[in-house]
Amino acid sequence: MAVGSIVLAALSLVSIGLGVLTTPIPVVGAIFSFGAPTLAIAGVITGGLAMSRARRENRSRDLALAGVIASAVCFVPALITALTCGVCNALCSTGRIETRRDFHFNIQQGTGGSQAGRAGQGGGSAEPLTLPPPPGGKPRAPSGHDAGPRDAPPPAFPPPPIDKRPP
Amino acid sequence: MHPIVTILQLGEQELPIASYGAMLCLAILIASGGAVRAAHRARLDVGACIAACGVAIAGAFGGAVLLHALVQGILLGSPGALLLPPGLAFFGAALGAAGALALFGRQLGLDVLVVADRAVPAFCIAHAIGRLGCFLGGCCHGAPWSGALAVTYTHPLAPAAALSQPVHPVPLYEAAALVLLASVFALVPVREPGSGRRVLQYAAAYSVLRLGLEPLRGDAVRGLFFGGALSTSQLIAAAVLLAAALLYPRPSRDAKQPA
Repeated sequence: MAVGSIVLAALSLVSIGLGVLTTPIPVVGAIFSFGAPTLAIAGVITGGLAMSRARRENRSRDLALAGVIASAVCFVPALITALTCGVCNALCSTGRIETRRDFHFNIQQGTGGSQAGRAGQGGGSAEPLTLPPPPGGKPRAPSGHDAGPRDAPPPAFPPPPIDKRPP
Repeated sequence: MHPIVTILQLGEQELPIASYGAMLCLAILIASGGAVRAAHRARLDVGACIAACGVAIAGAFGGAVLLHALVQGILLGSPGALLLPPGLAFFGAALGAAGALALFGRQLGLDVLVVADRAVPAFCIAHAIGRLGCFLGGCCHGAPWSGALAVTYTHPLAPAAALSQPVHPVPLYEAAALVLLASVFALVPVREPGSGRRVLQYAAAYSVLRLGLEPLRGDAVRGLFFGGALSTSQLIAAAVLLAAALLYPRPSRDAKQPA
Protein backbone atom coordinates (compact mmCIF):
# COMPACT_ATOMS: atom_id res chain seq x y z
CA MET A 1 0.00 0.00 0.00
CA ALA A 2 2.91 2.34 0.73
CA VAL A 3 4.36 1.65 -2.71
CA GLY A 4 0.92 2.28 -4.20
CA SER A 5 0.92 5.71 -2.60
CA ILE A 6 4.25 6.58 -4.23
CA VAL A 7 3.03 5.23 -7.58
CA LEU A 8 -0.13 7.35 -7.32
CA ALA A 9 2.00 10.42 -6.55
CA ALA A 10 4.12 9.71 -9.62
CA LEU A 11 1.01 9.23 -11.76
CA SER A 12 -0.34 12.51 -10.44
CA LEU A 13 2.89 14.23 -11.46
CA VAL A 14 2.64 12.74 -14.95
CA SER A 15 -1.00 13.81 -15.14
CA ILE A 16 -0.03 17.39 -14.21
CA GLY A 17 2.43 17.49 -17.11
CA LEU A 18 -0.06 15.99 -19.53
CA GLY A 19 -2.76 18.34 -18.24
CA VAL A 20 -0.59 21.37 -18.99
CA LEU A 21 0.53 20.07 -22.38
CA THR A 22 -2.94 18.99 -23.53
CA THR A 23 -4.74 22.12 -22.37
CA PRO A 24 -5.56 23.15 -25.98
CA ILE A 25 -7.26 19.78 -26.63
CA PRO A 26 -10.90 19.93 -25.54
CA VAL A 27 -11.98 17.36 -22.93
CA VAL A 28 -8.63 15.50 -22.95
CA GLY A 29 -6.86 18.35 -21.18
CA ALA A 30 -9.63 18.58 -18.61
CA ILE A 31 -9.43 14.84 -17.90
CA PHE A 32 -5.71 15.03 -17.17
CA SER A 33 -5.98 18.33 -15.28
CA PHE A 34 -8.79 17.18 -13.02
CA GLY A 35 -7.32 13.68 -12.79
CA ALA A 36 -4.06 14.95 -11.29
CA PRO A 37 -5.47 16.12 -7.91
CA THR A 38 -7.71 13.06 -7.79
CA LEU A 39 -4.66 10.80 -8.06
CA ALA A 40 -2.79 12.87 -5.48
CA ILE A 41 -5.68 12.61 -3.00
CA ALA A 42 -5.86 8.88 -3.63
CA GLY A 43 -2.13 8.77 -2.88
CA VAL A 44 -2.64 10.65 0.40
CA ILE A 45 -5.42 8.27 1.47
CA THR A 46 -3.41 5.18 0.53
CA GLY A 47 -0.32 6.49 2.26
CA GLY A 48 -2.27 7.35 5.40
CA LEU A 49 -3.80 3.89 5.49
CA ALA A 50 -0.34 2.38 5.01
CA MET A 51 0.98 4.46 7.93
CA SER A 52 -1.91 3.34 10.07
CA ARG A 53 -1.34 -0.31 9.20
CA ALA A 54 2.40 0.00 9.85
CA ARG A 55 1.62 1.46 13.29
CA ARG A 56 -0.74 -1.39 14.15
CA GLU A 57 1.69 -4.04 12.94
CA ASN A 58 4.64 -2.28 14.58
CA ARG A 59 6.56 -1.99 11.32
CA SER A 60 8.58 0.85 9.84
CA ARG A 61 6.36 3.51 8.33
CA ASP A 62 9.07 5.39 6.45
CA LEU A 63 7.92 4.26 3.00
CA ALA A 64 4.32 5.14 3.77
CA LEU A 65 5.39 8.54 5.07
CA ALA A 66 7.36 9.09 1.86
CA GLY A 67 4.22 8.26 -0.13
CA VAL A 68 2.11 10.70 1.90
CA ILE A 69 4.67 13.49 1.52
CA ALA A 70 5.10 12.85 -2.21
CA SER A 71 1.32 12.84 -2.75
CA ALA A 72 0.84 15.98 -0.65
CA VAL A 73 3.61 17.76 -2.54
CA CYS A 74 2.04 16.71 -5.86
CA PHE A 75 -1.41 17.81 -4.69
CA VAL A 76 -0.50 21.52 -4.65
CA PRO A 77 0.53 21.89 -8.32
CA ALA A 78 -2.15 19.37 -9.27
CA LEU A 79 -4.92 21.48 -7.75
CA ILE A 80 -3.51 24.65 -9.28
CA THR A 81 -3.35 22.91 -12.68
CA ALA A 82 -6.96 21.76 -12.27
CA LEU A 83 -8.19 25.22 -11.31
CA THR A 84 -6.21 26.89 -14.09
CA CYS A 85 -5.77 24.60 -17.11
CA GLY A 86 -8.69 22.31 -16.23
CA VAL A 87 -11.22 25.08 -15.77
CA CYS A 88 -9.93 26.91 -18.85
CA ASN A 89 -10.22 23.70 -20.89
CA ALA A 90 -13.71 23.06 -19.52
CA LEU A 91 -14.78 26.61 -20.40
CA CYS A 92 -13.46 26.23 -23.95
CA SER A 93 -14.84 22.70 -24.35
CA THR A 94 -18.33 23.93 -23.55
CA GLY A 95 -17.97 27.03 -25.71
CA ARG A 96 -18.27 29.43 -22.78
CA ILE A 97 -15.04 31.29 -23.49
CA GLU A 98 -13.93 32.75 -26.78
CA THR A 99 -10.22 33.24 -27.41
CA ARG A 100 -8.72 35.53 -29.97
CA ARG A 101 -5.24 35.96 -31.31
CA ASP A 102 -4.61 39.34 -29.68
CA PHE A 103 -5.63 38.21 -26.19
CA HIS A 104 -9.10 39.70 -26.30
CA PHE A 105 -11.55 37.33 -24.75
CA ASN A 106 -15.20 37.12 -23.88
CA ILE A 107 -16.29 35.09 -20.89
CA GLN A 108 -19.94 34.22 -20.43
CA GLN A 109 -21.18 34.15 -16.86
CA GLY A 110 -23.15 31.23 -15.50
CA THR A 111 -26.58 32.86 -15.38
CA GLY A 112 -26.53 34.47 -18.73
CA GLY A 113 -24.73 37.68 -17.87
CA SER A 114 -21.80 38.53 -20.02
CA GLN A 115 -18.41 39.88 -19.21
CA ALA A 116 -16.00 41.13 -21.74
CA GLY A 117 -12.59 42.62 -21.43
CA ARG A 118 -9.08 43.00 -22.60
CA ALA A 119 -6.30 41.06 -20.97
CA GLY A 120 -3.62 43.05 -19.28
CA GLN A 121 -5.67 45.89 -17.89
CA GLY A 122 -5.38 44.82 -14.29
CA GLY A 123 -4.63 47.45 -11.73
CA GLY A 124 -5.84 50.31 -13.87
CA SER A 125 -8.86 52.54 -13.52
CA ALA A 126 -12.38 51.13 -13.55
CA GLU A 127 -13.14 51.77 -17.17
CA PRO A 128 -16.05 49.88 -18.74
CA LEU A 129 -15.02 46.48 -20.01
CA THR A 130 -16.32 46.19 -23.53
CA LEU A 131 -15.29 43.92 -26.36
CA PRO A 132 -14.65 45.90 -29.53
CA PRO A 133 -16.85 44.75 -32.39
CA PRO A 134 -15.13 42.61 -35.02
CA PRO A 135 -14.39 43.94 -38.49
CA GLY A 136 -17.65 43.83 -40.40
CA GLY A 137 -19.81 45.03 -37.57
CA LYS A 138 -21.84 41.89 -36.92
CA PRO A 139 -21.86 40.62 -33.35
CA ARG A 140 -20.00 37.36 -32.87
CA ALA A 141 -21.78 34.38 -31.44
CA PRO A 142 -19.90 32.56 -28.69
CA SER A 143 -18.75 29.50 -30.55
CA GLY A 144 -15.78 27.90 -28.84
CA HIS A 145 -12.33 28.43 -30.26
CA ASP A 146 -11.78 31.31 -32.60
CA ALA A 147 -8.40 31.89 -34.11
CA GLY A 148 -9.18 35.29 -35.60
CA PRO A 149 -8.06 36.10 -39.13
CA ARG A 150 -6.99 33.15 -41.28
CA ASP A 151 -3.53 34.50 -42.04
CA ALA A 152 -2.85 35.06 -38.38
CA PRO A 153 -0.80 32.67 -36.26
CA PRO A 154 -2.70 30.28 -33.99
CA PRO A 155 -3.91 31.71 -30.68
CA ALA A 156 -1.91 31.50 -27.52
CA PHE A 157 -3.95 29.21 -25.33
CA PRO A 158 -4.96 29.69 -22.59
CA PRO A 159 -5.00 33.48 -23.07
CA PRO A 160 -2.60 34.79 -20.44
CA PRO A 161 -3.41 38.16 -18.89
CA ILE A 162 -0.07 39.77 -19.62
CA ASP A 163 0.53 43.03 -17.88
CA LYS A 164 2.76 45.07 -20.13
CA ARG A 165 3.28 48.00 -17.85
CA PRO A 166 6.86 49.26 -17.81
CA PRO A 167 8.90 47.91 -14.89
CA MET B 1 -7.53 42.41 -7.61
CA HIS B 2 -5.10 39.75 -8.68
CA PRO B 3 -6.79 36.66 -10.11
CA ILE B 4 -3.41 35.55 -11.46
CA VAL B 5 -0.46 35.38 -9.06
CA THR B 6 2.17 34.80 -11.69
CA ILE B 7 2.70 33.16 -15.05
CA LEU B 8 5.14 30.28 -15.16
CA GLN B 9 7.08 29.84 -18.37
CA LEU B 10 7.46 26.12 -19.10
CA GLY B 11 9.41 26.12 -22.34
CA GLU B 12 7.00 27.58 -24.88
CA GLN B 13 4.02 26.85 -22.65
CA GLU B 14 2.73 29.50 -20.30
CA LEU B 15 1.00 28.38 -17.10
CA PRO B 16 -0.85 31.12 -15.24
CA ILE B 17 -1.14 30.43 -11.52
CA ALA B 18 -4.60 31.38 -10.29
CA SER B 19 -4.55 33.09 -6.91
CA TYR B 20 -7.80 31.36 -5.94
CA GLY B 21 -6.16 27.98 -6.51
CA ALA B 22 -3.05 28.98 -4.61
CA MET B 23 -5.08 30.20 -1.63
CA LEU B 24 -7.24 27.08 -1.76
CA CYS B 25 -4.10 24.91 -1.60
CA LEU B 26 -2.85 26.92 1.37
CA ALA B 27 -6.22 26.58 3.10
CA ILE B 28 -6.30 22.82 2.58
CA LEU B 29 -2.75 22.47 3.89
CA ILE B 30 -3.56 24.52 7.01
CA ALA B 31 -6.76 22.61 7.72
CA SER B 32 -5.08 19.24 7.18
CA GLY B 33 -2.06 20.30 9.20
CA GLY B 34 -4.31 21.40 12.05
CA ALA B 35 -6.14 18.09 11.99
CA VAL B 36 -2.93 16.03 11.95
CA ARG B 37 -1.50 18.11 14.80
CA ALA B 38 -4.69 17.64 16.80
CA ALA B 39 -4.54 13.87 16.23
CA HIS B 40 -0.89 13.81 17.27
CA ARG B 41 -1.59 15.77 20.47
CA ALA B 42 -4.53 13.53 21.29
CA ARG B 43 -2.27 10.47 20.77
CA LEU B 44 -4.52 9.19 18.01
CA ASP B 45 -3.48 7.33 14.88
CA VAL B 46 -1.85 10.01 12.70
CA GLY B 47 -1.91 7.77 9.62
CA ALA B 48 -5.64 7.27 9.93
CA CYS B 49 -6.02 11.03 10.39
CA ILE B 50 -4.06 11.67 7.17
CA ALA B 51 -6.28 9.19 5.34
CA ALA B 52 -9.35 10.89 6.85
CA CYS B 53 -8.04 14.25 5.59
CA GLY B 54 -7.78 12.77 2.11
CA VAL B 55 -11.30 11.40 2.33
CA ALA B 56 -12.58 14.75 3.60
CA ILE B 57 -10.83 16.67 0.81
CA ALA B 58 -12.28 14.32 -1.82
CA GLY B 59 -15.74 14.62 -0.27
CA ALA B 60 -15.38 18.39 0.00
CA PHE B 61 -14.55 18.82 -3.67
CA GLY B 62 -17.30 16.41 -4.70
CA GLY B 63 -19.86 18.20 -2.54
CA ALA B 64 -18.73 21.66 -3.64
CA VAL B 65 -18.97 20.82 -7.34
CA LEU B 66 -22.26 18.94 -6.95
CA LEU B 67 -23.97 21.71 -5.00
CA HIS B 68 -22.83 24.31 -7.52
CA ALA B 69 -24.06 22.13 -10.39
CA LEU B 70 -27.36 21.51 -8.57
CA VAL B 71 -27.96 25.22 -8.06
CA GLN B 72 -27.06 25.97 -11.67
CA GLY B 73 -29.37 23.17 -12.81
CA ILE B 74 -32.25 24.61 -10.78
CA LEU B 75 -31.55 28.14 -12.01
CA LEU B 76 -31.27 27.10 -15.64
CA GLY B 77 -34.04 24.53 -15.37
CA SER B 78 -31.82 21.95 -17.02
CA PRO B 79 -30.47 18.66 -15.66
CA GLY B 80 -27.44 19.06 -17.92
CA ALA B 81 -25.82 21.48 -15.49
CA LEU B 82 -23.19 18.87 -14.62
CA LEU B 83 -21.79 19.39 -18.11
CA LEU B 84 -21.27 23.09 -17.44
CA PRO B 85 -17.87 24.38 -16.35
CA PRO B 86 -17.35 23.40 -12.72
CA GLY B 87 -17.75 25.77 -9.81
CA LEU B 88 -17.32 25.39 -6.07
CA ALA B 89 -19.72 26.16 -3.22
CA PHE B 90 -18.52 26.29 0.39
CA PHE B 91 -21.57 24.72 1.99
CA GLY B 92 -21.35 21.88 -0.53
CA ALA B 93 -17.72 21.37 0.51
CA ALA B 94 -18.58 21.32 4.22
CA LEU B 95 -21.50 18.96 3.77
CA GLY B 96 -19.51 16.75 1.39
CA ALA B 97 -16.59 16.48 3.81
CA ALA B 98 -18.92 15.74 6.73
CA GLY B 99 -20.77 13.13 4.70
CA ALA B 100 -17.58 11.44 3.54
CA LEU B 101 -16.20 11.32 7.09
CA ALA B 102 -19.51 10.01 8.42
CA LEU B 103 -19.38 7.23 5.82
CA PHE B 104 -15.72 6.27 6.10
CA GLY B 105 -14.58 7.62 9.47
CA ARG B 106 -15.29 4.45 11.41
CA GLN B 107 -13.69 2.29 8.72
CA LEU B 108 -10.51 4.32 9.16
CA GLY B 109 -10.53 3.54 12.88
CA LEU B 110 -10.42 7.19 13.90
CA ASP B 111 -12.58 9.16 16.30
CA VAL B 112 -13.18 11.96 13.84
CA LEU B 113 -15.02 14.22 16.29
CA VAL B 114 -12.09 14.29 18.72
CA VAL B 115 -9.82 15.54 15.96
CA ALA B 116 -12.40 17.94 14.51
CA ASP B 117 -13.23 19.49 17.89
CA ARG B 118 -9.57 20.20 18.54
CA ALA B 119 -8.84 21.44 15.02
CA VAL B 120 -11.69 23.95 14.71
CA PRO B 121 -9.41 27.05 15.00
CA ALA B 122 -7.31 25.71 12.11
CA PHE B 123 -10.48 25.12 10.10
CA CYS B 124 -11.56 28.73 10.73
CA ILE B 125 -8.20 30.08 9.59
CA ALA B 126 -8.26 27.84 6.51
CA HIS B 127 -11.77 29.03 5.75
CA ALA B 128 -10.65 32.66 6.07
CA ILE B 129 -7.77 32.04 3.68
CA GLY B 130 -10.19 30.48 1.22
CA ARG B 131 -12.25 33.66 1.39
CA LEU B 132 -9.13 35.72 0.72
CA GLY B 133 -8.77 33.58 -2.39
CA CYS B 134 -12.33 34.59 -3.35
CA PHE B 135 -11.40 38.23 -2.84
CA LEU B 136 -8.26 37.92 -4.97
CA GLY B 137 -10.13 36.00 -7.64
CA GLY B 138 -12.97 38.51 -7.71
CA CYS B 139 -15.74 35.99 -7.08
CA CYS B 140 -18.36 36.00 -4.27
CA HIS B 141 -18.36 39.78 -4.50
CA GLY B 142 -20.69 42.20 -2.77
CA ALA B 143 -23.49 44.43 -3.92
CA PRO B 144 -22.73 47.90 -5.30
CA TRP B 145 -21.87 50.29 -2.51
CA SER B 146 -19.83 53.47 -2.23
CA GLY B 147 -18.83 53.41 1.44
CA ALA B 148 -15.36 53.81 2.90
CA LEU B 149 -14.49 50.10 2.62
CA ALA B 150 -15.82 49.66 -0.91
CA VAL B 151 -13.55 48.07 -3.51
CA THR B 152 -13.66 48.22 -7.29
CA TYR B 153 -12.64 45.15 -9.24
CA THR B 154 -10.87 46.06 -12.47
CA HIS B 155 -9.10 42.92 -13.64
CA PRO B 156 -11.01 41.49 -16.62
CA LEU B 157 -10.73 37.95 -15.27
CA ALA B 158 -12.57 38.91 -12.07
CA PRO B 159 -16.30 38.20 -12.36
CA ALA B 160 -16.99 41.32 -10.28
CA ALA B 161 -15.28 43.50 -12.91
CA ALA B 162 -18.44 43.25 -15.02
CA LEU B 163 -20.11 45.64 -12.56
CA SER B 164 -17.42 48.32 -13.04
CA GLN B 165 -18.44 50.02 -9.80
CA PRO B 166 -17.48 49.91 -6.10
CA VAL B 167 -18.90 46.97 -4.17
CA HIS B 168 -18.97 45.60 -0.62
CA PRO B 169 -15.79 43.56 0.02
CA VAL B 170 -17.90 40.69 1.37
CA PRO B 171 -15.10 38.06 1.26
CA LEU B 172 -12.98 40.36 3.43
CA TYR B 173 -15.82 40.82 5.94
CA GLU B 174 -16.20 37.07 6.10
CA ALA B 175 -12.46 36.45 6.43
CA ALA B 176 -12.20 38.97 9.27
CA ALA B 177 -15.13 37.40 11.10
CA LEU B 178 -13.62 33.94 10.67
CA VAL B 179 -10.27 35.09 12.07
CA LEU B 180 -12.14 36.52 15.06
CA LEU B 181 -13.99 33.23 15.45
CA ALA B 182 -10.69 31.32 15.25
CA SER B 183 -9.23 33.53 17.99
CA VAL B 184 -12.20 32.85 20.26
CA PHE B 185 -12.02 29.10 19.64
CA ALA B 186 -8.27 29.09 20.19
CA LEU B 187 -8.53 30.99 23.49
CA VAL B 188 -11.44 29.02 24.95
CA PRO B 189 -10.29 25.51 25.82
CA VAL B 190 -12.17 22.54 24.38
CA ARG B 191 -14.45 20.84 26.87
CA GLU B 192 -15.13 17.18 26.23
CA PRO B 193 -13.33 16.80 22.88
CA GLY B 194 -15.24 14.24 20.86
CA SER B 195 -18.67 15.46 21.88
CA GLY B 196 -18.90 17.49 18.68
CA ARG B 197 -19.83 20.65 20.57
CA ARG B 198 -17.01 22.73 19.13
CA VAL B 199 -17.76 21.67 15.55
CA LEU B 200 -21.45 22.45 15.99
CA GLN B 201 -20.58 25.83 17.53
CA TYR B 202 -18.46 26.61 14.47
CA ALA B 203 -21.21 25.46 12.11
CA ALA B 204 -23.83 27.54 13.95
CA ALA B 205 -21.62 30.63 14.17
CA TYR B 206 -20.74 30.46 10.49
CA SER B 207 -24.38 29.95 9.54
CA VAL B 208 -25.36 33.07 11.48
CA LEU B 209 -22.52 34.96 9.83
CA ARG B 210 -23.57 33.79 6.39
CA LEU B 211 -27.20 34.63 6.99
CA GLY B 212 -26.14 38.14 7.95
CA LEU B 213 -23.69 38.68 5.09
CA GLU B 214 -25.72 37.25 2.21
CA PRO B 215 -27.86 40.41 1.80
CA LEU B 216 -24.62 42.28 1.08
CA ARG B 217 -23.66 39.88 -1.73
CA GLY B 218 -24.10 41.02 -5.30
CA ASP B 219 -23.36 37.96 -7.42
CA ALA B 220 -26.45 36.33 -8.89
CA VAL B 221 -24.57 33.15 -9.84
CA ARG B 222 -24.97 31.79 -6.30
CA GLY B 223 -28.68 31.26 -6.84
CA LEU B 224 -31.59 33.35 -5.61
CA PHE B 225 -35.00 31.99 -4.76
CA PHE B 226 -38.43 33.36 -3.75
CA GLY B 227 -38.04 36.39 -5.97
CA GLY B 228 -34.52 37.13 -4.74
CA ALA B 229 -35.54 37.16 -1.09
CA LEU B 230 -33.36 34.19 -0.14
CA SER B 231 -30.16 32.78 -1.60
CA THR B 232 -29.12 29.14 -1.73
CA SER B 233 -26.57 29.76 1.00
CA GLN B 234 -29.15 31.35 3.27
CA LEU B 235 -31.45 28.37 2.89
CA ILE B 236 -28.61 25.96 3.65
CA ALA B 237 -27.33 28.14 6.50
CA ALA B 238 -30.79 28.10 8.09
CA ALA B 239 -30.92 24.31 7.75
CA VAL B 240 -27.40 23.94 9.21
CA LEU B 241 -28.29 26.25 12.10
CA LEU B 242 -31.40 24.19 12.84
CA ALA B 243 -29.45 20.93 12.59
CA ALA B 244 -26.73 22.27 14.89
CA ALA B 245 -29.35 23.28 17.47
CA LEU B 246 -31.00 19.87 17.32
CA LEU B 247 -27.75 17.88 17.40
CA TYR B 248 -26.03 19.98 20.07
CA PRO B 249 -25.32 17.68 23.00
CA ARG B 250 -27.08 18.88 26.13
CA PRO B 251 -25.17 18.58 29.40
CA SER B 252 -26.33 15.56 31.36
CA ARG B 253 -28.10 16.00 34.73
CA ASP B 254 -25.11 14.46 36.50
CA ALA B 255 -22.82 17.08 35.05
CA LYS B 256 -25.04 19.89 36.34
CA GLN B 257 -24.80 18.70 39.93
CA PRO B 258 -21.78 20.04 41.85
CA ALA B 259 -19.21 17.44 42.73
